[in-house]
Amino acid sequence: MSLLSLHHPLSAPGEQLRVLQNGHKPFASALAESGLFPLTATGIGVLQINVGKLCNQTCKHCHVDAGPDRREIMSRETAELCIAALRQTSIPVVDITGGAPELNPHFRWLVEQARALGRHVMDRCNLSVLLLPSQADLAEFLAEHRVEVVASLPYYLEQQTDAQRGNGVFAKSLEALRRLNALGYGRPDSGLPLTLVANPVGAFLPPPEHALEADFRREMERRYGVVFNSLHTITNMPISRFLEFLLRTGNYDRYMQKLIQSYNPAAARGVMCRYTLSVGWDGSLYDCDFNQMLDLPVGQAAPGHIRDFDPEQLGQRRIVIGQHCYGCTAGAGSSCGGATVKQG
Amino acid sequence: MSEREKCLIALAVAHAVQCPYCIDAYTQACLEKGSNPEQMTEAVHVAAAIRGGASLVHGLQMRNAAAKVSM
Ligand code: SF4
Ligand code: SF4
Repeated sequence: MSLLSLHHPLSAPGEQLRVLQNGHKPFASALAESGLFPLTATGIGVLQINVGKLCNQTCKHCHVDAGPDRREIMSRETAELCIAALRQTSIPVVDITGGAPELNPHFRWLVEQARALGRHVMDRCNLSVLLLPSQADLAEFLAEHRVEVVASLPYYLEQQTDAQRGNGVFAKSLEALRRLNALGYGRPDSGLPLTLVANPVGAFLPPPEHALEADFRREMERRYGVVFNSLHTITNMPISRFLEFLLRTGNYDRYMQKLIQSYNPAAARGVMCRYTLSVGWDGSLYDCDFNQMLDLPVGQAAPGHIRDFDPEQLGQRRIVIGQHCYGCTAGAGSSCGGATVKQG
Repeated sequence: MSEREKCLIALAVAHAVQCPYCIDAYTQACLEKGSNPEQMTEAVHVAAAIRGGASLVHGLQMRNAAAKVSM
């Protein structure tokens, strides 16, 4: 169940921000020491659209607090505003996320429109959604529209994956991956990119991306005959359900200290908010999906809703930051595109 | 050798020398290099086998010492 359904105090973004305020070195100071304060956008290369919080899973670390009980969902009208905004610009990448974005009744329309505008479209897919009876033709739809599938898989073993994402999720994920592979996804030169996203199953930082990708490639092929194109690592953000886990298990302080000690100026320079604009289910604009879940909209100098979209103003906006931002700047950095300091 | 493998060796050695700080540090480090608890347990088994083997082989010293003073 979501924190919201449990009436948990941490379901309120204000309470999460209050916990995060406590005692540690302000993120703004870290940025200032690396000459990056105030942090500003360098343009809009990615329009990330969060079409709602409805999901068929309830993962323990979910920063959206998504689940089957959530009802917030983007309307057709708001989806149309997103397409109108895209039409005004040449933003090359449309990144559709949720919840399980495919469960939004306007998802396919959004994909078709963005593809018709010639944009690269990414679907942040939890894999198990492909097995729902209502989504029996989803894999074919994604392939037909040449959508990049960005699929969450925290580890190449069942025990770790199910511990984070729920019992039975690993088996379903494998079946979905096999379905995608059968359509050509993950095979070199098919033009159907399959990207895996791995995040730690606990209160520790992700491994180096290139090393984990090599481990996954070897193990996924050897154990299950599954192939993919690339793997991204993501750091667990100390917000929402992962914050609840950290506090409940007594890991919060140590984890925050770890993030802060691992602050990397090179990762800070590459944070995704600098080239991404995030749209919420109701059309509100944010610097990133994390700020969206913390109810931290774009700064007041920039338009706050997709209906007032102004690429010039938004493309050079000042980013709204907080202590959670340390999650993006630890070690090799973390973003929706994986590590921000690439190696090897 | 990969960083992950080096870290598993460090974890095994930490158990051989039974250093509680090293065990904590290398447990975290192994997870952060992408190892899982099963692999880490395997590394501890190797350390235990080497330690056990060494104890057994030192039995020879005991046998020799006993033989020396015995009739
Ligand atoms: S992490 Fe993704 S799949 Fe899991 S509950 Fe959240 S939105 Fe759903
Ligand atoms: S949490 Fe959002 S605003 Fe903060 S650094 Fe990361 S992407 Fe930027």
